[in-house]
Order: sequence, then C-alpha cells, then structure tokens
Amino acid sequence: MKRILTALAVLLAACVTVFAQGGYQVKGVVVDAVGPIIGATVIEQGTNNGVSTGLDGDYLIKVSSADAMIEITCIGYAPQTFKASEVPATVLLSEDTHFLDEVVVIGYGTVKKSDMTGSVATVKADEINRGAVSSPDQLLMGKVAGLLVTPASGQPGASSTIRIRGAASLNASNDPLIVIDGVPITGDGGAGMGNPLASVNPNDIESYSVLKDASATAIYGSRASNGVIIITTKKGVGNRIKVNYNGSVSVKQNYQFFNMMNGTEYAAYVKENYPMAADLLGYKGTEYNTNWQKEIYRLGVNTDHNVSVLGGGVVPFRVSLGYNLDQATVKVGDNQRANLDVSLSPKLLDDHLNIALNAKGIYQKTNWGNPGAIGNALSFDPTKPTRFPEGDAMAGTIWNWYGSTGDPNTMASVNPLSNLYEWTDVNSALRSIGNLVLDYKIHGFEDLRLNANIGYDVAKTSGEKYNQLGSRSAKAASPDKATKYSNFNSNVVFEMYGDYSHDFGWSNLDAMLGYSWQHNYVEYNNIDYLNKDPRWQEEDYYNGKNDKKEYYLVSFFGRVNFNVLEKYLFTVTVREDASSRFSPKNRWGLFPSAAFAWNIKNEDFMKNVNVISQLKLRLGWGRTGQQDIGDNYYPYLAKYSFSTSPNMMYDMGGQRYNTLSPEAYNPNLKWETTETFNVGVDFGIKGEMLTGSIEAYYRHTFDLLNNVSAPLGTNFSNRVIANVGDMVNKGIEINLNYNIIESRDWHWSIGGNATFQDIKITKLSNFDDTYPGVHVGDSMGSNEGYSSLYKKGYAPYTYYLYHQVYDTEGKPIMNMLADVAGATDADGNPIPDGAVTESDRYLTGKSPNPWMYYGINTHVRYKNWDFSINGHGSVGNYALNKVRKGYSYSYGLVDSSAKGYINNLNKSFLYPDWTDVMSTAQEYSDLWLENASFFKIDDINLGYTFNIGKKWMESIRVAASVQNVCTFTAYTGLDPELPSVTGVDSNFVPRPRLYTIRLNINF
Amino acid sequence: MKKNITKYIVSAFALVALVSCVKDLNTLPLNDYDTTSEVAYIDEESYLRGLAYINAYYNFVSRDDAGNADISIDDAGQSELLRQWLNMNDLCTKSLDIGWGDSYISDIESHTWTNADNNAFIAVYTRCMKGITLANEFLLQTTDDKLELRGHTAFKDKVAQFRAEARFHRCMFYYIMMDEFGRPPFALEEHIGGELPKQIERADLFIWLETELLDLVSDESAMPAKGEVAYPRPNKDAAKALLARMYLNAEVYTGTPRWEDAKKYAKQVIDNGYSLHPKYQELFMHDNGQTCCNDEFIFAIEYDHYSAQSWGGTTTLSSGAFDDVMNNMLAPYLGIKDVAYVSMEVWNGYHLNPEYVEENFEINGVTDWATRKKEVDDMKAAVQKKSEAATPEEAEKIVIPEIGIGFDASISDKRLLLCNEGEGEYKASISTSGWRVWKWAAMTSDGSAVKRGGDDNTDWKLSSADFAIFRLPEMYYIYAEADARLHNDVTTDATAVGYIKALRDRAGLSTPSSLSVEAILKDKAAEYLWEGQRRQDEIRLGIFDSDKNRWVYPLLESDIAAYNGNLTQNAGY
Repeated sequence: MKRILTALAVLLAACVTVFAQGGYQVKGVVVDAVGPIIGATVIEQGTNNGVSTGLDGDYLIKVSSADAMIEITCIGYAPQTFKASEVPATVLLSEDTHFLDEVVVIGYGTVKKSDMTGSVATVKADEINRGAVSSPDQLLMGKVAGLLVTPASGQPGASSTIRIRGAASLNASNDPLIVIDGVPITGDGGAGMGNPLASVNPNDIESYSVLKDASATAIYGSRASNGVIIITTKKGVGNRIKVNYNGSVSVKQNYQFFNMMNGTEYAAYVKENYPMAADLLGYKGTEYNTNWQKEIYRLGVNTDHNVSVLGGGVVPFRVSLGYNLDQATVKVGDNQRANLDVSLSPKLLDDHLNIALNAKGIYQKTNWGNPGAIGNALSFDPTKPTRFPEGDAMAGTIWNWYGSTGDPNTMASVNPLSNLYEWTDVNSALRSIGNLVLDYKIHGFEDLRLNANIGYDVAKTSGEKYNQLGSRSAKAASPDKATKYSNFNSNVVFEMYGDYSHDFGWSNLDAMLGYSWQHNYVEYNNIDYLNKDPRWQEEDYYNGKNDKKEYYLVSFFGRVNFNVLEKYLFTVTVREDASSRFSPKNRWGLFPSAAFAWNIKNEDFMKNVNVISQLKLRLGWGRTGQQDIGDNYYPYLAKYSFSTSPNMMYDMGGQRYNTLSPEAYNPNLKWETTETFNVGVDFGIKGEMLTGSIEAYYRHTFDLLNNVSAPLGTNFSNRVIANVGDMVNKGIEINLNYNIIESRDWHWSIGGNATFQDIKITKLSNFDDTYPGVHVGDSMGSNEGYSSLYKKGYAPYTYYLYHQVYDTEGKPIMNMLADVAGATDADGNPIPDGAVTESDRYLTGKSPNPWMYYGINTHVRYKNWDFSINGHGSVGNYALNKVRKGYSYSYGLVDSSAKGYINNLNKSFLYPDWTDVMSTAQEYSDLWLENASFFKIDDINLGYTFNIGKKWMESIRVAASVQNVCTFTAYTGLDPELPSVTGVDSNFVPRPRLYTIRLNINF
Repeated sequence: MKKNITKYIVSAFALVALVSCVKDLNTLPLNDYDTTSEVAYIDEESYLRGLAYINAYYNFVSRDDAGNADISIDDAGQSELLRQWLNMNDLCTKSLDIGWGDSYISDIESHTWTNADNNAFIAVYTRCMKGITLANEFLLQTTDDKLELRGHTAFKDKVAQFRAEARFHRCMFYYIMMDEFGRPPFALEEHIGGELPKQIERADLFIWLETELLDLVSDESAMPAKGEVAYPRPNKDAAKALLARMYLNAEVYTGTPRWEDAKKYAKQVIDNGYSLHPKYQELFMHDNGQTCCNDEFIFAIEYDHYSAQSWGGTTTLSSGAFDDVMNNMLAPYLGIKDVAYVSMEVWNGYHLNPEYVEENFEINGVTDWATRKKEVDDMKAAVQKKSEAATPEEAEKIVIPEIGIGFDASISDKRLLLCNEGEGEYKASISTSGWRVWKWAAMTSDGSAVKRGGDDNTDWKLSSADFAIFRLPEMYYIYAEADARLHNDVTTDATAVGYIKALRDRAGLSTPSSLSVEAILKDKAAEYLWEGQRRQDEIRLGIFDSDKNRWVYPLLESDIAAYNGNLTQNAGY
C-alpha cells in the first residue's frame, strides 16, 4: 500500500507550490517503516511555502524563522508538525489508519467510507484520464460495476442511456435519479436539454457517487428505483486564489462505411437483373458514380475551453466558465454550449452556520441537422449526380427524383444532400440549476444540525424547424409547414432535515429526520405555420399544440446510523412519499430500508492477518418507489378533452365541430415498488496491492406500472396504465484493482469491473398465465410493427420473431418461415397449421440485455509521463440488424421502379436470389438477429506534466488521446452498441473516432 | 446573542416546514382544453361536440392528429376503423389484393388468419368497442338527471336527439361486431368503470340491435327524420337502411331468414326521396359530399383533406391503388391535361384479381396482355425521354402515346373504373400485375385533378372524398334479392327488376326481365367494388370459404386474456 501511496503523493506533490523564502533553513529525510518516502510535502504552516521530498526522501526548505511551524504530510500517513528548529533529521511517518476513511457523499449527508453499509461507488473526476468529453456521463462509461452507460449516437447533443443494475421498470422511466449538489434534476428538460447530465460542465465535477442498492437509495424513496447518481461539483478551497485553464481540440473522423454498390456496379446489376428499372439509371444518358456516404461526411471538430478561478478564505468561492463546440461528422450539425458555474461556501457564526450557494447556467445552441441523410446516403442511386448538371433547367440545385411535370416524387428516396442543406432544425436552450443550503449547528447543542436546502432547476428551450423554400422537401410536404416550438420546465425543491450525531465512545449514533417538497412544472408550445417568405406571419398560422402540466412530490424521511466499536454498523432509513400522480387513496408510499455491515478487519482475530488489509461484509435490504409514468401527469383522473386541432373537425350537418372526448384513466393507480437485497464484500490484499469488492443483488419490482390491455367496454382505450406485473433483476458485480508495479519511477495498474446480470419478467397479467404478452420494440419494416414481446419468464424486449428456413446449403430462403404453431400432437409437439401467421412467432430468449458487461482500464506512469487505456464491453446482448434486412433483397427495384425511382443495393448484405416482395414474416425473421457482444477500446491517452513551480504558474499538462479506437465484434452492422433500448439497429448517427490534444495549465 | 440567533434560526426552519404542505398534491389539469368529466359538458354545443367524436369514430384515429392513434396500436394510419373494415370485407374476397407484405394482409387475403391478433382485427374490434364505449359514456352524461343537475334543461330536446344519434352509432358499431366477430363482449353504460361485460351470442345481439333500431325509427323516437339534420349526419333512414341490411343477412346471424322485413325497410328508404346520381364516377370524387353529388347517399363518413384528416379510408383507396405508370396512362384518358396525376401519391398496393373481373363484370375489348405490355413500355420510354429532354422545345417534340386503359370502355360496364399495365394474373412479386382500380381517382366533379405539390400549401396528400356507408343502390339490391329469395331465387317483380334496371341503365347495360340472386349479386359486385360489401354477399351466396368457421373472425385474444374468462373464443380458432 505504501508504494501506491508514495506514488500518489508524488503526483500530488507535483502540484504543490514549491518556492521558498529566506530565513531559516531546514533539511532532512522523511521515511516510513520501509524506507524513504518520495513526494512527502514539507510546508511552513500558514504560508504557501513548501517543498516535497526527493527520490531519497530528502528535502530542503527555507522558512521565515526558527520558530516557524513545519508540517510534514503525505497521503496515507499521519501528518507531523515540528518547530523548525526542532525538526529531527529523519522524520518517521507512520501509516494513518484513517486513510481509508475517505468521505463519501450519500443522500442527505456524507459518511466515512469505512462506515458505509450500502452499495455506493465513487468516482473522482480527476482520477480520470480523458480525451474530449462533452457530457459528464461519458466519464462514467465502464468505470463502475453495475453501471451501464451506453454512449449517445454521434449526433451532437444526443444523450446516452444510463442504467444502474439493469432496468427495473417496463413502462415507467428507467433512468437513474441525478442529484447535482443536492438538487434533483429532471430528466425532461425539453428539446435540446434532453440529457440531464449535459447541464453540468464535466470540468466542474469533483466526484460522482453512484448509489446502487436500496439501503443507499431508499432515502430518496420515490425516484430511486433506478439508482441515484450524486454529482458534487468543485468548491473553493485553499488559501490563495488559483486559476486553472483546461482546453482541448479534437478532430472527429467517421471511420466506418457500409459496403454499398458504386455507380458502375449498380448500373451493371440493374441492367442485367432488372431491365424494367434500367430506364431510371443515370441522368440524361450519363451514368454518374457518386459515393453518397463520402458526400455527407466530413472531419468534425470538437473544442473545449474552461477557465476556473477558486479561492478560500472567509468566503471560499469558485467560478468557472466553459465553452464547448461539438461538430458532427455529418456535414450539417453542431452543438455549442457555454457553462457558468458559481459556488460560494462561507462559514459564519463561529463555523456554526455553513452556507453553500451554487448556481449553474447553461446556454446551448444546437443545429440538429437531419439524420435522415444517413439512411438516404445508403439508398440513394449512385448513378445520379449530386446536383442537376449545367444546361439543365434546374442546374445547380440538388438532384432529386421528380415526376414528368416537375413535381417531386414523394415516394422516392431523398438526396441526402437535400436532407442536409434544405432542412433547418435549430434549437437554443437555457437552463439554470442552483440551490442555497443553510446548515446550522445549534449553539450550545452542537450534536444537532439543521439543514435546509432550497433548489431549482429551470430550463427554457425554443427552436425552429422548416424546409428551405422552393426545395424538393418543401414541395413534397403536405402542406409545407414551418414549426416553432418552446418548452419551459421548472423543478423546485425544498428540503429540510435535522441531524443528531453523538459519539458515545464505544459507539456512534447518527439520526436524521427530514422533509422534502418538490414541484415539477412543464409547459410546451408548438405552432405550425405554412412555410412562406417571410416566415411566422400570423395569417399563415396552420395549427398549434400546447400542453401545461405539473406534479408535486411530498416526502418525510429519516435515517439512523449506529456504529458499534467500529465493527458493527447499522443503517435504517424510512421514507414516506406522496405523489400527485396518484389518487388521494393511493398517494402515499412507504419505502424503508435496513442494512448491516461488519468490519471484519477490525476484529481482534484479524488484526494480525497482515495479508488482508481490509475486509468488510455488507448486507442490505430496502424498498424504493417509482411514479414516473411518462407524459401523463393525471393518469388517475377521469378527464375530458376538447380537441383544438383544425385538422380534426367533423361535419355535424353543415358546420364543422372540434370534438369532445373522454380519456382513458385508472383511478386505482399506485406506486410501483422495487425491493432490493444486496450482499457485498469489500477487501484489500497485501497492503492494498489488490483491492476490490464483490456484490450480489436481487431486485424484485412489483406492481409494475405497465401499459396493459384493458377489457374493452370498460375504459376509453384498449390499453391503460395499471399496476400489473413483477420483474426480477439479479446480478453479481465484481470490481478489482491491481497494482502490478509500484516503484519510484514506475506505476502500472490494471483495474476492471464486471457485472453479470439476469433480468426476467415474472408476472405480466393479473388474470392469466397464458397472457399473450405486450407488443414492444420497433418496427422492422416501413410500416409500424413490433420486434419484441414483454412476456412472463423472459427478459424485457426479448425478441419475438419467426424461424427462418434455410436450404440444404444453409442459405436462407426468402419468405420461408417455419410454420410451427398449431395444435399439438400426442407427444406435445406442435403440428403445423399450414400457414405462417403471427402465431408462428416465437420468443427467441435473446434480448438487447447483455448477461455480462465489463470495463477495464490500465494506467502506466513513468516519471512525468502518464499513459492509460480504457475499454468496455458486453456479452450476450443481441441486436436486430434492420439495416441488413433493408439491403438483403432486390425486390425494392421492382416496386420502386413502378413508383418512379430506384434505390441502391449493398454488396455484403444482398442475397442475389431474394427478388420477391418481403413479407412481414420475413421482416421479423430471426435471420436478422445477431449477437452484438463487443469489446471496445474507448480511449488511449498519453500525457506529460511539466512542473513549472513558478509563482505565476504551477504546472502544465499536455495530453493526447484517441477515442473510439476500435471495436471487436461479430456484429455485421457498423456499431453493435445501439443507442436504442429496443435493440433494433436502424441507421443511427455513427460514433466518430476522435483525436484530441488537451492542455491543462494551473496558475 | 447566540441564544437569539439559535432561536431565530430554529424557528425559521420550523416555519418553513409548516408552511409547505401536502395540499399541493391535489392537482387538476392546467390546460384550458382539458377538463374533468364532472364539468366537461358546459353548453349545448359541448354536447354536440361529444356526439361529433362518436360520429367521427369511423375515420378519426384520434381527436387531434391523424398521425397518432388514441388507442394503442402499431400504426395510426392503419388503425382507422373504415380502412380495416374494408380489408376485412373485401381483402378476404377476390375483389381486392394488396401487394404490400404486411402479415395481416396476406393472412386475410389467403384465408390463413388465426386467433392471433392482427392489425386489421385489432383496429376494427378495438375501435368498434371504443365507439360503443364513447356512446355509452355519452348516454350516461346526458340523462335527464345530469341535465337538470347542470341546469341544461332548456335544450333537453336537442340533447334527446343527440342521444338518439349516439344510440344509432352504437348500433352501427355493434352491427359490425356482430357481422365480423359474431359474439362480442356486450357493454352498456353500466360497464364503464364497472363490471366486466359479458359475451353476447350472435342471435341475441341481432335481437338487441333490432329492438334498438326499431325504437329509433319509430315515430316517437327523437332520431331526426330526413331533412331534420343535414348531410352527412345519420337520420332515421340510416337506421332503416341498417335494419334492411341486417334483415337481408338475418339467416346468417340467427338461422331465420327475414326477407320480407328486408324488403319493407329497403322500400321505406327508397321511397323517402333519394335518387340515383347520374354519373357513377362522381360518387367517388373529392367533392362527392357536396350537394352536386350526394343525392344517393343515405349515410356517409366525411373526409376532408384539411379539416377531417385521415391516412385511411378514401386516401388509402386512392393512393393505395396507383403507381406512376397508371397515372401517366390515366391522365390523358381522363382528359387531365395540365397535370399528369390523378392520385395524390403512388403507394402501389391495391390490385384487382383478373379472375374476379372475368367472373363478375361485363368487360369487353380487352387488349391481350402482351400487346398491352408493349403499349405500356412504349409509353414509359416516351415519358422518360421527355423528362430528360435537354430543352423545353425538344421535350415538346416528344409525343407520349395515349394508350387508354386496356379495354374498350364504350362497350363495357361503365362502372368498371379499371385499367391494366400489361401484366396478367395478379402476383405479389410483380407489382404491376392485375387490374388496377381508379374508382377513387383524385378528381373533382368539374373534371379537374387534385394538384400535387406544396406550392399552394394545401394538405394535398389527403383525400376529401366521403365514403358512403349506405347508398341508395344497396336498398335496390336488398329489395331485389329479398324478393328473389322469396320466389325460389329468381325475381320477375317489376319493381325489383326496375330497380336493377335503373342501376344497369346508368352503367350502360341491358337488363333481362327476370333476375336470379346470382345475377343481382353479380351486378352488385360491379356497383360495389371496394365498398366493403363483398364478404357478406359471398357468405349469403355460400361461396365465401369452405370452412364455415371462417365466416366469422376470431375475437381478439388480448381482449379475452384481459377479461379473465368472461369471453370464449369463436369455434374453430
């Protein structure tokens, strides 16, 4: 352990101010039981004057006088203080047994790591080597066992999907609760602010706490079923003003392409096989050779600049300003963001009143571009020019399929350049998150602390979408509308708690009691105008939609921590929550938890077992709730709605009327509840050479908020949200870190985590076990449809498909799907019923959920050089390759040529003898189901730190990195890591590779 | 001092804690268009608006957006009641083939449907049952007690009329349930939020419907008579037409024929002032709901490209049937000069089986397939050449041959609004095969075609053609067929034959003096192509399917599962 600590200390010391002033000189050596300590800090107290020890543990410091107090510190050791004149030549530092007592942020408070009973993982932001990071979620990818971060698609501003220990809900939200400095963040920030984590600048983050089990999360009760991520931002510290600049420039490159036919190959193929479509090749007798995928992509740039100023003193403060520009690799599309973060943390009244004031402001401007270009770049006929050629009536305009009278063929594919250049979709968003925390230790009764937190999260977004006037898309629209929209979201929270903590010597008691009130308000406005010049004229109003809604959450909560002899730790929490989304009789839900931890290492019999440096057993149980059913904030209320749409009026005999209609509702709706059991062991071996933890969890969600079939005739839809169904989610998490080499100049460690999970729906109908299940997932065709089924005994989104039939050579036969369903014979084997119908679909047992996912990383440091590689992967997740399906057959040429256009084909995916119309059954064949297990090298980083140590500049770090380095997979699509939870791969914006140079200067 | 601070701070904490309260949890909708059921009905117009949604439920998929269904279903456009009702009644016969690969289409087309819920069954079953529930809720909300409670007694009579209309629509929806699914769940007002409805046998539902409709057509009924409400709202004649249709099929539903009753009610409707519209094609044009053309409509569903939007119904019948070539051959044939399109879009799906054409239609002068194919290819080549001409002058020089529609319309049934592209037998794999139907071509009665493109910013992709649930000719056929059934399947009755003669005269055909049931239904096959009548006619003729279990469709499995045993599946599924 000492070696690691030593190494850490070296790194740390590198950042410490190193300059001396005249006066008294002290020199000596700092050692521990093993030998010299490198990088211990020797500092003159009350000043910035300090040095760190050299390779032999030696130091030399000039202090102001012989009476100056000198403090010698090193992480992991107990600090020592001497008068300058009395410093021994050899200072022996002893290990600090409280070193492990890192403070961990948990709900409504903090706890020493050694006292923790729940499953909480912490990630310190500065432990992370990174390339270009435009959103904080990226920092968590592959870092924590049980936390699965699926990165967003390559579209700037898109959000990633975060799951803690798998999905616990079927229809309600599965996103974890995000709490930033005590403010719970709403996931619904409106368009352009869909990613709640994007509202915080990654550079401002101090640490993440990932709360995984119920004993940790139950204190958040109602919103904690999917785990909690607490983000703590950096605060002002120290005793002088420090300035930090952190910036990066990245080049983004799209490096994967589909193997489409080029113009020559395509023309030859069509002429030979589909002469009826050959007329449509080329333009005016010329067959061009356009690579549409090349046409739409570019090198994108991502640049990031941050300046922060922080200082301590009477009013510790930190102000930071950040700017990020992220350009898509698709030619149109970028996201610009500016962040301002201010925090003040004064202590008043003899340090009895701690005040924390945090305010963040985000301004974001997004040009979404048109992702439709990606699919069209594959489909569009490669024998066409990009633009109409010279001498043509439409010369210079983007080439498209027009009919003989000059009207666009609305059935035809659109030139991807039209998607990019003839469509505007821009958004700007303003968001602010802030809070004021008053924490008061009562004078004369210091064991009792009162804490009040008033916080807000307000976002306002607005945007415009329209076709360029006169463009192909404008002509093809019916009618051509220009849309203006705006969202306003406001989330206000008030919380208060009292905390009593007392040390009885043999034990330690901490009891907390609190109250929370939260109001969430959403307003949405969408107005369509006829798209004319000038736009947005009142007389061109077409129609509009608006929606206003709100909900309230009110809670009472309490927690007791009891620590006996530093060996036995007990935690009990209770939270009573009420949500306005439920009727008064079902409104309140009680969410308790209990946990026990045993610090085995602190037992007498373990004291002498030196090989084990840390050993703790944790047991936890608890319940959490879920009320986030999505858009409907009044699901229990019998509601009528007046239609406002001018497009949906009915002629009631000479006059048209908007309609009035009742809506489906469920007065019996109540909380969905997740019950969690957790067992964990934390350990450290050989002086923390090998550290890690193993945990097992069992989550049982019941009263699932589910969209179920309603008996027709009793309600106003065939589906209503009801509390139906159970789900079980089991898993084992392993987290290991091994320091292979730890020497004076070298450090090499390997860390990894793996999560094994098993998710199953255990009940789906209140009536009948033969319940056919709920259609979910995505369409595999051009019409809507479903790829998966929720069904008892299967994982959510288990694919529900037909069996493909193959010929003797193993080639799939088009439209031949196995006829398996029908009556069963005496032996219980199904007798085919002579036709392939819906009933021949089967549950494949495969789903987008991996049975294992993992992250690994390695760090190497040599002197001032550092190097790291991070990777992550998953095993057992399957994907439906809809892109491959789309290019597997050539019948499209027959059908589309009848509609007046033709589409390109793919060399890798095409089955030459597949020339028929593809049946729905074929579209939902298991042929398209592919194992999408993968391993990705996420990033490789190399850095060098210059320790300047000057008054005006402490240090400079220069680093270079490559992100999205490579993917190992058998999947035939571009990227097996699908942003869609349904597992259907349909042309998402590819994730580019990034080459980044980063500069960090500390003043 | 310190004590004071403590006091202040502690009391401040306490105060804030008390002020915030749990009463906030009682939220109500904030939108001005949202309201609770207690206060939804505020004035006379609001009752009419409530009725409007029931009346619109044949073609509206939601109250606000034609692209979003108000029931949980795969595809909004394909969830329209009328669209899928047509599929369940025509696609299952040879009168309609659809070239899209959807499994529900091939299941119905090839008579291989099973008890597994498919999109057509889900749409028709769910929407009818929701329509019934909407009507039930409307009846609950419009009782005398409720009106009195709200102080709405002043327009009690108006509301009574609305109630009668709601009951008529409920009958329509239950009639469809009886006809398609046989033994549906039977829900009335008390089942809303109450007990699960029980299953009703087909014959019992027939009796209930008969009683209900007879009450609506009685003199005491508040159901409006013809002229009391304007087109397209249903009146007593619509109820009588439904009775006539039910009586014609009574034997199928109950085992007991009711030919006399069928004749009686058909005759009552016929004699109430309807007349055959002289030009058959105009019955399916975009202005067919206007006074110019709706003279033979008894009850129709309104579509409007702007104000009553739907991606099903007549939009599908029009765009679904067209491809590009068809547009190019038809436009000159129909005299459309300025634009070359007679459909809104070209979805290239709906076809007509040549066998069906040969069996049922008087079609003459058919070009043989090979010659036809050459004609089509030549025309396509010319169109292609013209579109690629370097200069407008050069384009002008290229003449596109007018190739007609592939048969001699002057010596054929004038109702055969068909054409072909030179491929014979309909095959799903050849998208240009089979006969194509332009009955719903996107035209107006002044001879102009709907303008494509967004220049004038209209909703040009959607149809404004109304769809008639009951037109006068059906009453003629019912009368004639019922009379024939009463006379050993042949009618020589002057009135009956006269009715059919009127229809055949309009079609330019001669009429014999005696008509068999087969002859009557053969004529109807031409008159009512793609109007949702064929399945019933084939069932009555006994030729629908050798497996009689298929004469009704299966109930929705998901509904059976949701019911916990109150429903049982139909025999054979």
